[in-house]
Amino acid sequence: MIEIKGVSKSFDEIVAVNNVDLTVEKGQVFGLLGTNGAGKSTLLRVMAGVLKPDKGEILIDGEPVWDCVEAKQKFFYVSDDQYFFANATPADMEIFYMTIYPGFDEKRFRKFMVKFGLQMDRKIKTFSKGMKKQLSILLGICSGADYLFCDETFDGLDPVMRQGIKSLLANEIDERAFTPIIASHNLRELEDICDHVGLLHKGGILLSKDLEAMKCDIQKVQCAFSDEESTTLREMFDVLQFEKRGKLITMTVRGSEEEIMEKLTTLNPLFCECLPLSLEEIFISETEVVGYDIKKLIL
Amino acid sequence: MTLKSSYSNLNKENRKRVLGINLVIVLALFVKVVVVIMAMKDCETNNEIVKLVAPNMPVAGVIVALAAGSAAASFCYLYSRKQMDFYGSLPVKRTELFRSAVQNSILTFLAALVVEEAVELCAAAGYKVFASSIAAATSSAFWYFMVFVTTYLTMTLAMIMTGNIIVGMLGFGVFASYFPLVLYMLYPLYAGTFFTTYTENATGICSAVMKHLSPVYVALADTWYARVERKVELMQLLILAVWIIALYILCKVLYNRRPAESAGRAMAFPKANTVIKLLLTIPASLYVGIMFYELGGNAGFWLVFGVIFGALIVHAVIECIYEFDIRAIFHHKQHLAVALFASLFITLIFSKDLFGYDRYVPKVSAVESVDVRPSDISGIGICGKTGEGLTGKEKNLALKLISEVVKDNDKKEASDKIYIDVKYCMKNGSNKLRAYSIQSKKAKEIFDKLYATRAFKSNIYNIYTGDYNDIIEVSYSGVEPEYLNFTKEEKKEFFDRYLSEFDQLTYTERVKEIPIGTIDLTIGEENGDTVGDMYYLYPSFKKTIAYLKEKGYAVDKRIKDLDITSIEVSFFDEEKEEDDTYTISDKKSINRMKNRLYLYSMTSVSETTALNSYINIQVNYKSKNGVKSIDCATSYTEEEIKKLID
Repeated sequence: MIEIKGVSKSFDEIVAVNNVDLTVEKGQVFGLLGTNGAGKSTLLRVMAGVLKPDKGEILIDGEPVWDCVEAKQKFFYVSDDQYFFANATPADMEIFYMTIYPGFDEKRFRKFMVKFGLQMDRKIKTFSKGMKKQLSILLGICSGADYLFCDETFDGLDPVMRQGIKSLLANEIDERAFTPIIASHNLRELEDICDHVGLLHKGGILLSKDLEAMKCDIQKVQCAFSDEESTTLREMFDVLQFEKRGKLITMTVRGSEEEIMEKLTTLNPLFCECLPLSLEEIFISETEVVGYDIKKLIL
Repeated sequence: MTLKSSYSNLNKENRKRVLGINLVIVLALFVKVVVVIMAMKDCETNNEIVKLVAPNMPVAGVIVALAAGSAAASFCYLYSRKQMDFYGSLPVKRTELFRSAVQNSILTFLAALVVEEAVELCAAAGYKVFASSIAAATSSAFWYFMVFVTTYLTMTLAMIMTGNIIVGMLGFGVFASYFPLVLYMLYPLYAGTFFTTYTENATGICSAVMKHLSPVYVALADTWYARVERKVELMQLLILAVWIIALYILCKVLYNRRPAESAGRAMAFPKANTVIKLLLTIPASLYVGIMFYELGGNAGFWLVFGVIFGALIVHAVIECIYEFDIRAIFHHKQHLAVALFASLFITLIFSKDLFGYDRYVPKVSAVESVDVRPSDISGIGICGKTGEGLTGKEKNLALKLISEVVKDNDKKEASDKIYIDVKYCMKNGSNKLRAYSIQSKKAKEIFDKLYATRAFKSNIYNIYTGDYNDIIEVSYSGVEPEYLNFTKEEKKEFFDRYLSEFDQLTYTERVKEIPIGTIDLTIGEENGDTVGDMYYLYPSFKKTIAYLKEKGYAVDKRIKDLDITSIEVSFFDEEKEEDDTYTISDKKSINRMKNRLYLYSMTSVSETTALNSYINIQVNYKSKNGVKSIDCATSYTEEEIKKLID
């Protein structure tokens, strides 16, 4: 389990991470979502022991991360722009990581390299961006670490490779208590794989919830009334978004489907139904509440 | 903790990362050994071969460059965010990363150096100089290693404290040179310019400490000392050892604390920015100030202008470096104000002597002894102890006289001034040095009193405290040189008489009376040259002269006693702008002139001003061995000589 307790990190006057409290259970696939400049990369770097938090602490299975070998051996960090030694080949990196991660599975690594079509003796500097990302993830998975921190990892991968990596991660999760923490803007990809999401905004945590529970707890409702009921609706429900076109009202509200339908029925609507929300729609709704309105950016 | 096997694997991987610079080090040492072997062929003596193997400064300079390069290669990852993310996330202790890098670099160099010195020794053995080369090669290996380690750690410190390679290199330059070059020279420059009593010998504790505040400088200075003196001082070794340990600890502590986000920035520890900026801006502005002052004909306006200009420019440059932005030149105006204020205040301290440097005369109760040496008295001193200053009533007298001197002291040049070097040895162990310049008339008043005391003379002339048994030979250099073959008792008798008459010599007589010859003492030999002292024999030392005559040495013979056949006189004629040479051969002129002829060697007697050294005189005389010549000087002026000739 990863516990993030009251972590704050600033760079001069810029508060990148502000008093974040978060828990990542083992065996989860944790998606770290956030707006631009929300602090996702900073939080990951603090979790990886690269940056020292100004306040708070991060514990991995009860051990603080900062400059702790035992804690760091439990995770593998894949940054958005991964570093490899100059003129190194995947074989060189394998040897290096074997010295650092006692649980590195050499055979498995070589097997995956063949499967993904990456050459062991080719210089990494000749790899494409996507190939480097693949290599990083394979090294991470084969390191034997329990946690994999990925920063914007799926960017740069082609759709086939993305599926390949996802199935690899799923396989790892099935076989052992493997816990990837993935920071990304690509909400559609995360929706497939994550079962828990944390939403960061301006350095703070907006929400951290089980994805299914989140989807259950926020609904898109379409309804129509013969009379003017919009004021009543706003009072009755926790409305995140509201749109009215003619008589058709479309709103995003918090609450379970049953609760919402029960309340709506009391208003005698002409028509009402609940629609499932995608992760993207939930993301937009939640951030709109705190003032991050995508529509305001479109001229 | 990283396992031992992991640590050794980490070291192995680290060595692969810095393979390039290690190859450069090996190559450089290889070239050195080839050059030394080639040079050995041209050596004519064993000593020359030993000198080739011994430490030398050009090689030490190359090692400085190699060490700096090695540190830069080992720690350049600190400047890259990508690499910091990589190394920061590895399950390796920060201290292990640091230790691995330092250890690898130093051990690699050491291994290459040992091999290189061994090869040189073998080459020297080929020339049968093995035994005497061992010490030189060991010294070489040791000092080059010290230079490497101190430079490596200094550069590492610079890399840790900065976030960019250019700033890192500048930082190294500052760390290596700030104290021994920047600050060390600043005080003598300002004090020498503005304090009339400042003397170049006034090093003091601060100056002595400052020379040791750069480990690179200390290592290089010790290497030079080891080469020249062929020995090692324990204190030097201790200082160097302390520096290496302190640097290592400091680097380790700062490495652990270095924030990863400083990669790419100018400075890694923002809190140190202001301090470093002020430490650079203030001395730089003072240097610029003094430069403008001297260019501007020593005008106060140019001094102030230079200080302000220097502070503005240096502050602006540093801000640009900190922020990598030319628009930053106007940032942090309050820091600039502080630097300006400090620089101007320091300038005022010196230019107006705010703390009374020139007026300083310590209280009698605070002074252990005072050493007073006028420039027109040349102190002598191998046989015997160097005087430790005047104490007792002579000290009180000297201090009283100096306090009168302080009122007259100024820097205006005048030909009849006498300069006095004074050393106050304080009761608290410190020494304060001053140099006063006073009119010769005033000097005469003062030194007539001081010179009359034995304590003053024994402070200046070491023979007073000498052990005559240390004197191997005594000879006399006069019109006719004599080797004075004394027994032990005769030597003592001679010097006792000499010193008793020397006691009577007054300051005025010393200036007016021209010695008839010199008593030359041979004390020993050094590097094939004889070492000794020289004292003057004055015509008024009648007892001494009588004693020597009694022993069969006719030391009182003077030029006027010679059977002179002719006198050749030459001097530069300013009207004709060429040398004029005259020969005087008539007896009348010779007789008139010879009473004021003296040995030419007496022109070097700094005390006397009676002789004209720019008139060259050669006296030809008859001796039992035929006609001889002797170089002389005269107390005549050019006009008087011309009249004589006419």
